[in-house]
Amino acid sequence: MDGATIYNRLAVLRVERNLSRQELATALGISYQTVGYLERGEYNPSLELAFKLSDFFSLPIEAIFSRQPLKPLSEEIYPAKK
Amino acid sequence: MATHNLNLEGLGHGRSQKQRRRMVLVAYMSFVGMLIIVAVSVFSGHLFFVDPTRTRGTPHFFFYTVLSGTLTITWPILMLISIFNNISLSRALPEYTMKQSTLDERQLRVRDSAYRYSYAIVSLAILGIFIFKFFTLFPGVHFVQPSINRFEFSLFLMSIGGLMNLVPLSIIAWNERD
Repeated sequence: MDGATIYNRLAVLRVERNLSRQELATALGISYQTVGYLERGEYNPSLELAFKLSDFFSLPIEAIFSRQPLKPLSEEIYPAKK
Repeated sequence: MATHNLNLEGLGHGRSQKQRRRMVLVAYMSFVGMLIIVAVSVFSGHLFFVDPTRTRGTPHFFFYTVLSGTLTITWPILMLISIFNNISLSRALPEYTMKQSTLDERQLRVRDSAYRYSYAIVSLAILGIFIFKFFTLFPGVHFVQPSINRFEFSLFLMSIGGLMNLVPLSIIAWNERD
């Protein structure tokens, strides 16, 4: 992997929308292998690709990518009761 | 609701990474085989060859004939395997080998990096050949005995040509995941 680790939620977001890697790749104009690399965190996208992803999912970039490990979405929506 | 598997796609490359790695191994093995044959051919000529008029009918002559015959037949077979593998690898990586390729940013980086490594590897191979040739040209600095003739040297050059095509493709084929 290049540089610092960037965590992302791409796999969850894609499956939530019931998209295959190929469909997401076609929509973004990249190869489906690259989608796999992105989801596994083995490749950090360029700023341009990050913005494309942000536009595609209609989410801010920080909701998709983070420098810290991301919490599960369910935990963010329904925080664990103490 | 769509029922297709959201993680496993049809293989875009037409070949899985495992298959591509096998092809790379076969291509390199045939290439190394060709080099070994050239080396054995050069050295055996100096070690075993005796004037046929004096050795005809002896076991020594028989051994030399069988050896040279085997080498002569094996080399083109290995060369064909190598060429076939080069073509197969090119077809297994269409987006990297088509003239009008549409590589995305990651693939461009992978391709550039593969070519960078290839230039280094092929340059070292060429340098090695020139060093070898240097020691065979000047008898005073010999530590290897054989002198390579034009035909054998042309085989080396052909091998380098094959290597220039094979190395970048094999790096990509080996590393690129499904």
